[in-house]
Amino acid sequence: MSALEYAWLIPTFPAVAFVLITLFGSRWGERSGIVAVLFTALSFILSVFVIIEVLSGKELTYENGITWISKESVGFAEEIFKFGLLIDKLAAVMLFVVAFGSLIIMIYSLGYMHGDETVHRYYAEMSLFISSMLLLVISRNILLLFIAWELVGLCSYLLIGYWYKYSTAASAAKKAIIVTRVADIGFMLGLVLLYNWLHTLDIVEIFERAPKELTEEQITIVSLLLFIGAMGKSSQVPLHVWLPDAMEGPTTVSALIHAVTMVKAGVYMVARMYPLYVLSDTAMLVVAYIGAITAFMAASMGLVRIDIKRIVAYSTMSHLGFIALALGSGSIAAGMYHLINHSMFKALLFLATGSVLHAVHARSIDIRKLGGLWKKMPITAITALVAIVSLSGLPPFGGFWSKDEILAAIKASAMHEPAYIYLYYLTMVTAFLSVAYLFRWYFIVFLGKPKSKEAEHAHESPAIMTVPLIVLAACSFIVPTVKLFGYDEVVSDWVGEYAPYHLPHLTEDEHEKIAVISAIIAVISFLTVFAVYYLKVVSSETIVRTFKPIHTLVNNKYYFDHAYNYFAERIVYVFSLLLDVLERLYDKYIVDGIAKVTLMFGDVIKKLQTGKIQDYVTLIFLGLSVLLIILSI
Amino acid sequence: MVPLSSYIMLSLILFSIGVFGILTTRNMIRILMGVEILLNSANLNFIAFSRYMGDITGNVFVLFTIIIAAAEAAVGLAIVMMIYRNYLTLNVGKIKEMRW
Repeated sequence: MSALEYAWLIPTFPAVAFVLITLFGSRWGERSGIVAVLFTALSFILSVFVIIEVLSGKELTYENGITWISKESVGFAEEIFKFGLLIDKLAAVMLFVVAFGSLIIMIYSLGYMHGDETVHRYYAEMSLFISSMLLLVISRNILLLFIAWELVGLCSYLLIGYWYKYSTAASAAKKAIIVTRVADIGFMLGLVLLYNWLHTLDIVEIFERAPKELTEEQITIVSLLLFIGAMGKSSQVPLHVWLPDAMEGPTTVSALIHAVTMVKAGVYMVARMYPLYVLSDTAMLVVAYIGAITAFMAASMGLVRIDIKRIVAYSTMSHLGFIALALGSGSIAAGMYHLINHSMFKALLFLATGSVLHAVHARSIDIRKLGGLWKKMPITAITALVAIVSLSGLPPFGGFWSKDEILAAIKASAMHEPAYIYLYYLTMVTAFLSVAYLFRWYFIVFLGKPKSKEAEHAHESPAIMTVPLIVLAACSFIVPTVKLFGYDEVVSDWVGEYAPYHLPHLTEDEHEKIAVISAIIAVISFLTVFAVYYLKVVSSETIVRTFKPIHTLVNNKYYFDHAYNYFAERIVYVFSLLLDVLERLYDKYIVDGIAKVTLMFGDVIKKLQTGKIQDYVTLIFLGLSVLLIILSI
Repeated sequence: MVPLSSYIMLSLILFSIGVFGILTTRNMIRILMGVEILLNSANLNFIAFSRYMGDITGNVFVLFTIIIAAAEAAVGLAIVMMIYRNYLTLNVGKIKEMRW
């Protein structure tokens, strides 16, 4: 018996939980959480078996699966939409990460969501969310991937707006779904073009046939269109505006969205379609540039925010930029490695943030009101510290190694495409910033003196919340060691099967030099923050005053929101006013006109309807006479 | 032997009487009687042609017509009854609900 054959059960379990909780949740109340956890655990256990088998060399490629639309029903092109599954190394690793992260977050939710009135709705939506993400990971058909993709988008909408009674939460949910919908237009166009050119949406078949049957321009167009979809999902500039606002949901939802599901779907899709991307240098360069710019902008915005959750959100955005940058620089191994690292650290960081919010009884809070939590919540403080040192890339923790891999990949790419070298320097600056904003967050929240009543009365969270934190913190130490098992070769092999793409090899010296430089940058950055926020050598106000114009620019989020609002309020609004006038004219003269003419005719003809039988009979006989006369002629 | 044209003339005369009866009276019973005369003129036509052509089909048709006419008369008279109960009149000129 092979676990792989039952892999289709992995997304099915949470889906069953979703159905059960939807049907009986109102009766179960808070107990529906246990059902959700159980089914997620089943998925996780199965995914462990799956990853073991895949790493020992097996693979699952169901070609046939379910046929949705067959040749008979449409009459053109064979086997149009066959929903098969594909579990190769890439999918298996991702499957494991998603299932593991989801399980931890679900267990944590039992504590965090305790006492919420409509908590069964929360568990139902979370189960659907996890199920659709798992489906996305293992689908072999891009159309099936797209369906799961949209389900993920829907669930994130539902969960961001979970506390819909707050108008900010409702509008944040709307913003998320509208922005990603705009991006999905790109994705759909990509699908349509791909189908038009290759007459298949089967991923494996696309990889085999694309290099032979498509020109480079066609591949560039398709990959960039698909990437637009990924930009929306993975919140890359300029479609990132929804992510910081998405913090309006419960913190566990943010953790799920940021660590394993929604935003990871975008970069995972790029990794999934990687053999297509490597065929086009232009597409790779665009992906790398967008990623680097996103990473930089997000890191700088994170440096000036004051909302505890938004800083973490910008950190996610910055790291998604890193992942896209790694993929664009030709190293899927570095990208996926960073993705896995980030999943662990970010889940940990969000859950620690949730623990803080739970302690101060807030949906979200200004970090300047906190402080001194180190003594009051030691477990939270220590696990958060683990998350931060790993995430910010201080040597010798996990984030440092993945960042090092990314920098090496950029440097290697720069050897055959000089445009990459700017990204190298930009990423160095970003690396500096990413250490700074995370430690600023940490120093203000956990050290110093409590600055509000809530912070003074804070106490450690219950065990149901701290145990997941400890487990994740342990994983944050263990996960980076997967590199020792040759994980990067495993993933690179997979790409090599379809598209021979090799980065120029860096010499050991060069690689070491990069590691040393990035370590020095990280340490300098840490010392700077330490000096400003702990030793208080210079006050942060002085720094803000010195760099006033830059601070204003960054504090206003680079005016992206302003630009979108301006676009909506001025351009779209004026255009719709114009359309409004046109529609009124159309209504008045065409719609109402037809009605008026009809009424006029009716007024004339209704006179015949006298209601006297004699009149009707007369008419009948007159008609008969006319008919007879015509016939007799 | 009576020629076919005579039957047709008689049928035509009966038909005209029926139409005249329907058109000139306001009494519902009379209108029904007119309709019956119309039907019988048609029946006469059927029979005459059936005989003339030596074909039995016409006879069969007439049998059907008579049966249906009986049913129709029952329905018609029932309608007349109901109208009389509701309006207390049989003058069709006064019953003008079904108009614009």
